[in-house]
Amino acid sequence: MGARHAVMHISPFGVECHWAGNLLGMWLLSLVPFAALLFLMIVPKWSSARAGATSWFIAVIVAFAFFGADIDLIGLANCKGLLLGIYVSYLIWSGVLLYNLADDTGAISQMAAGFKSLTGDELLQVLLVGWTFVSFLQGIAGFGVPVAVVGPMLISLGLQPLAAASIALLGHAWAVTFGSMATSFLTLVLVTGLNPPGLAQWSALLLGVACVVTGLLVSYMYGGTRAMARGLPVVGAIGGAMSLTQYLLAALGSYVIASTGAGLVGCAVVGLLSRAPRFRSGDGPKIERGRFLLAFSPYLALMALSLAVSAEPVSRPLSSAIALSLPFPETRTSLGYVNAAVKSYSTINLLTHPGTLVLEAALIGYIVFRKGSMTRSGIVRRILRKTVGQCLSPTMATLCMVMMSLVMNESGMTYMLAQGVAVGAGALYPIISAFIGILGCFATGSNSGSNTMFGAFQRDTARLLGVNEYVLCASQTTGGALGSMIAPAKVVVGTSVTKAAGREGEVIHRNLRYCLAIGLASSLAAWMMMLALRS
Amino acid sequence: MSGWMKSEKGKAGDGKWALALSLLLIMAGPLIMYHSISSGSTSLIWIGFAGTAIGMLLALTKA
Repeated sequence: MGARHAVMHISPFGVECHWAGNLLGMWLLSLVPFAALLFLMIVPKWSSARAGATSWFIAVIVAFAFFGADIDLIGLANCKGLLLGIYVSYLIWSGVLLYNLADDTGAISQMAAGFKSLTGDELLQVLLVGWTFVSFLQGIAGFGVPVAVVGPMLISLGLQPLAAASIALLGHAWAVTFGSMATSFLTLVLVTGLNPPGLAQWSALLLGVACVVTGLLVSYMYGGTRAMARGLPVVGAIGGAMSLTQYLLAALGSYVIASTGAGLVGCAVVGLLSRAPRFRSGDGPKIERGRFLLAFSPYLALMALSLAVSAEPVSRPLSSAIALSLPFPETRTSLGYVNAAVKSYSTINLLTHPGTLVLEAALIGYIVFRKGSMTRSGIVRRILRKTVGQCLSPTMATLCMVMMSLVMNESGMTYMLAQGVAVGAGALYPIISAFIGILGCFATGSNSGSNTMFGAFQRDTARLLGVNEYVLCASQTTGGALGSMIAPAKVVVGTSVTKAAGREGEVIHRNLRYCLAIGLASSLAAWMMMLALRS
Repeated sequence: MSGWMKSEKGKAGDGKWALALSLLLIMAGPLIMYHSISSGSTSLIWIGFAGTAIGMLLALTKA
């Protein structure tokens, strides 16, 4: 990547953008806030709030001094970050409240006994909860809900808090693109203008590769190479069934249920496998089906509520009932990077927000637990006090990191990072294309955000390099999905429900390796697909 | 309760208040900036920015 005095490209916002000066120098400067955040969280193990606040100062200084941002742009970027942070924090508070309710009433340990009575094989239990069930949940509920629900369940299976948070984040990531009503996929279709059926099939193929590798890595995370080797046939069967289901549903145009269907089939395959003599439950604790369903009731309620609000006749009137959002005007840096005006940014639909659904599920759970004589006196006061104590720090961490990310995005730093990688990689770009998606998700906290930011960029790069644009955009969304396992906003959700708050750096450090490994596997698959298409 | 335990409790209490103040500033600052930009008043924008920066500084030192 050499010095360039003027580089022009089309930004994902459809606006021309002129970069002046030394591209390498600008690229290195845009890397500083990210690098500082990762370094401070991983090496001296600073809390994510401290590391996020430090990186915020760095991002603001770099944006002001080198990227031509003015005070208006910084102010609006911080306000957008605040809205996004509130969106995530609401889920954190309600997720932790639900966990505390389940913990206080003993529902968590009863759920564990239920999973253990299904199969005596611990690896199969972890694969069921941390891979197939979390993927099913990702299909019906969005933004962090699967992680908030499954994290405590994994702890109940005996996993350490860090492992539980890491596996919940790792296990759900591959299902994000077609999850939560395929919002990420539809966003990609919208920003690239590509033909949805073609894009869906290529995306499902690459996500299928990611799905199988994820299963292997969940096994590895549970018990190292021995568990991975032992789990290979099981992972092959479950992963093959989930990938095939997702591909078929995507190919048939049923994008919105592709992840849900795949997760459901995965759970069914685990159910079938658990009947095999090798996996049958041993002398472990037995639990009546009624007690298990009672303990599971808030989570069943959450699934029912998520399904209900995903149906259009229900979601449409609810979504427009109470919506909190702000309009934002266009902003432009003095270098020419433009953020288009938006009518409503990060709209919080109070009645359909995942946080509200979790709160409603907690209320239903409380009523059911009370009827089932599972509650002790003073429970409400106890879990509220505990929740406030546990949530202040994660909220701070979320706000600091999201505001830092938004300053980077709006001043063009994140885009500069991606552009630099593309220029540096040249013809080898397809091999690393998924990493741009990962970068976008890390910066914005979501697959949709990543696709919005880099979807058109990937399409244009594919046209410039003369490679298949469908495969490259599929690689983008695969990377965007995988980035969910390391995106700070989601990691905070994972750590706050697994009693690992403040240890986000350790989770990111752990998951980064897996994220890069799966990203490399899917990028290589994309590259091979491109070679096959050329020949 | 020993004096050591009292002082630890005091520290923890101070930390929570600092955290709450920091959260308040981090949330209020951007909203002030947004209001200022929307209404075209330039003086408030720097107050909002200063509030956000102080909130971040508190997070940096107390979180």
